[in-house]
Amino acid sequence: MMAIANTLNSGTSVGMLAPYRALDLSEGGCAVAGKTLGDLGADVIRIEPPGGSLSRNFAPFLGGICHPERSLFWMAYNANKRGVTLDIATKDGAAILRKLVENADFLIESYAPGYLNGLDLGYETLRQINPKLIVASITPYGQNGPKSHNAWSDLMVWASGGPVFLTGDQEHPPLGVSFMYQAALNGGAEAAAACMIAHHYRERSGLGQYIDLSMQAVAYGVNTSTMEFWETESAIPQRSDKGTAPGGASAPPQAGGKIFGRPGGVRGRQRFYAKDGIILYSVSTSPRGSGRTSAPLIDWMQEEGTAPGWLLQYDWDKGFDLSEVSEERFHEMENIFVEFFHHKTRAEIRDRSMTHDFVVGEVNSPADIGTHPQLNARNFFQRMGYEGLQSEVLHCGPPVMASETPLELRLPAPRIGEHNQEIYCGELGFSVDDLIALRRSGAI
Amino acid sequence: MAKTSKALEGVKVVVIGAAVTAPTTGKYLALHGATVVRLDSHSRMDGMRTQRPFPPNEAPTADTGVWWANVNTSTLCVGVDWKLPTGKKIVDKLLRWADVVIENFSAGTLNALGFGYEAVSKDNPEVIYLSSCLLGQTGPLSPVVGLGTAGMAFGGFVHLTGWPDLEPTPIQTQYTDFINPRMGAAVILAALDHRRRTGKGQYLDQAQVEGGLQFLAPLAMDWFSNGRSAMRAGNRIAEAAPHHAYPCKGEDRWCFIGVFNDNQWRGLGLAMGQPVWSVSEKFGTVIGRKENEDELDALIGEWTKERAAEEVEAALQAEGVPSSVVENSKDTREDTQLAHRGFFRRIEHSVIGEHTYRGPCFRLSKTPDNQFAGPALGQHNFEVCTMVGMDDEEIAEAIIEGGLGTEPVSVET
Repeated sequence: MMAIANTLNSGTSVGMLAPYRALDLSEGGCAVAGKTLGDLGADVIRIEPPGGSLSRNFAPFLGGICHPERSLFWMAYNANKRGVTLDIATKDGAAILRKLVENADFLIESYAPGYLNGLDLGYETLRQINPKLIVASITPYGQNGPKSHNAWSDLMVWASGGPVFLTGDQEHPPLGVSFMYQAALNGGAEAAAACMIAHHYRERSGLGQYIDLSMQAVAYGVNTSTMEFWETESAIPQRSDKGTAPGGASAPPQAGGKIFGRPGGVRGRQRFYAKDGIILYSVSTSPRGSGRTSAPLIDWMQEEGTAPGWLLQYDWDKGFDLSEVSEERFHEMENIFVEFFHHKTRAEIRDRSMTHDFVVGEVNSPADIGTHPQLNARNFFQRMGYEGLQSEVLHCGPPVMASETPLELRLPAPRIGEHNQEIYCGELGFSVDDLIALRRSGAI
Repeated sequence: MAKTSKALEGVKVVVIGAAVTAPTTGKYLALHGATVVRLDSHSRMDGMRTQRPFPPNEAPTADTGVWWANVNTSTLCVGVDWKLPTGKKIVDKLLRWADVVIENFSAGTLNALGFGYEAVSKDNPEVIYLSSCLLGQTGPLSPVVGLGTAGMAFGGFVHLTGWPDLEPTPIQTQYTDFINPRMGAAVILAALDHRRRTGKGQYLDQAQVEGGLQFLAPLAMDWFSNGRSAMRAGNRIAEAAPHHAYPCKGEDRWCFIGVFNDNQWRGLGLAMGQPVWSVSEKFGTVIGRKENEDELDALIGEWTKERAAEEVEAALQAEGVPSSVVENSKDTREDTQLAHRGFFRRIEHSVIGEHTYRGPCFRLSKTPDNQFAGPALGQHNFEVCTMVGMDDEEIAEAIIEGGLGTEPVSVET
């Protein structure tokens, strides 16, 4: 394994998708589609309106300075792309886009349904220019249907797909992740997969095709068995019934009053306080004889002499039905775990878990993530220099490491119009005078 | 080529794993025509097979769990005990047959069994082999195990979900298990394309926490660049007010509403019949609405709670205000838009009969998808063994020796 490990992301070879070009006209989180293709080595050209993409207004900003060239959001999702400005709603702009399409393999867009058709730049038009082109449209609800023109922002789409209803607890309103681009980000990542599926067909057939992606469906895709509970038991899985007040318990997901998964196998709170932060852990007893139990922790308590005799009466190794333990006794049981974890650091718990087969989740903040020993050992965070900015910017690395053609951060996110000259003059053959005219007219 | 051929026809995939991540990655390929063999085991089957729910008229068995059937849609299942020589032989043959191997055991597990990349690539140098685990195959903490609940905690999602003055809240799904297959599928297909051009296979190491962090990347950068460690903030965001889930008539009914500009604010006022407060100076500007957001939330909540969530959504959509019912399992199943897209499909399952499955989240204009129900344990034993070149005699021997099976060794119902 070491031989492989040493080659992961250490090479300098070209990327997997080096021969291909993508035009990226998407906004917000959807831009992760083009970013992923860029990570994989494709030549991705980010097309933004003159003056800059709306996504450049998205927080956070480098140094807390709100400026279109300092948006960390923009940088995160538009690295590994070149950038041009183009107003495709102008005649010149539309003509330039058609020209770019001649040599493009993918076009990714997130305009409202029908917008590109209205400019005569829809798939039907573009495929006449280049029948190999794959066009991916990422929209909240898809290209047509009763909700396709709904007013939206990310959380509405996330809510319409189901995850919001199941986030939080029953004493509070349902909610989203406090980085409210999850529907668009999932949509973008899904679009990258869809592009590659269509690409595979193109390589066999010579034909591109059109991808109509729904962020609502993508949001639905992160739900665990909610539809299955409705279909089989007419049950509506709910948020946990206990509050999130400090020290409060949090039960695992409920469905029709019963616990998800193996009945009687898991019970009680999910959050525990270690000495230096919160962890997720579930007391589990695996009454069906499969899966992990809390036995390794009972052993650890025993080693340290903190397990009371009554706790050891239960058969933690073979498993037992936790739902048959009385409320009072369960509470005592849970408190043993509360006390136990409270005297350990998260690192102590984590290190022990590596050798003793139990599962804990560290609840990490961005600060914990930035300083995490594992992520840093894997060189996950990578420095990128930005022209015109005094400091380098640390980026997150790619989603997957590869042994032969590593996914790499090759290019910083483009400045507004950074590659106009390179692409319009160098590749499309416009003169500098043309560029001046196009700028003045507002086309670029 | 027939116009109806599926996008990934001819791609041969083996999924070795359990739970969600590896099978879901395989499902992306299977749904578009790849031949995906789901390696399961009658001696130690995927525990998710016994996970609720089960159809009301079916005893809970290895083959009646509808969640497993959904996650493993369109795959062929072979039941193998690889601790026995006849079982191991089948796995070896499958791994030689595969274009793509996808596994999600804890780091290094398959190496120890002789099914790791180094062993497989000796016989099958062109294989694309994706390993997916919580923290990756390398690094000091690579042995740490965990599913998507641990993944979203490690990766920051739990810390960033909840109310600022209260404890963090796990999202009630294994979030990172569903994020990673999207990227995994894209990378696998890119690697296959590279192989088609160069003849080179490769190894792919997916750390699910790193995959998840793609969706919080700007916040990690905020920490590095600005020393700011972002905190959960309920449903509040800097750029909109109101922006919240408002209570509606009925039990646990909510409508999510967001107002980002003056037009939307006017629309909200009109939809509510322009109560006096909605035209007051105080709420007339974005800054005013942000400054008085608590009061605003309470006032809007007073209006919404007298109305059904659907009614609120309809009234607001009519005025162009971003809004949606906070849909539960019933709402989504009955959602008119998902229905319009044919997202849910009724498909015949070999044991439980007709049941509902999720289709793909995107439609391809040319190539049809390929959906059939997730298989029973060992349902395709014969078909798969034949496919990898075994004759009837070898298959019979494997069955007799116990290397191949369809019945879980210890059935617990």
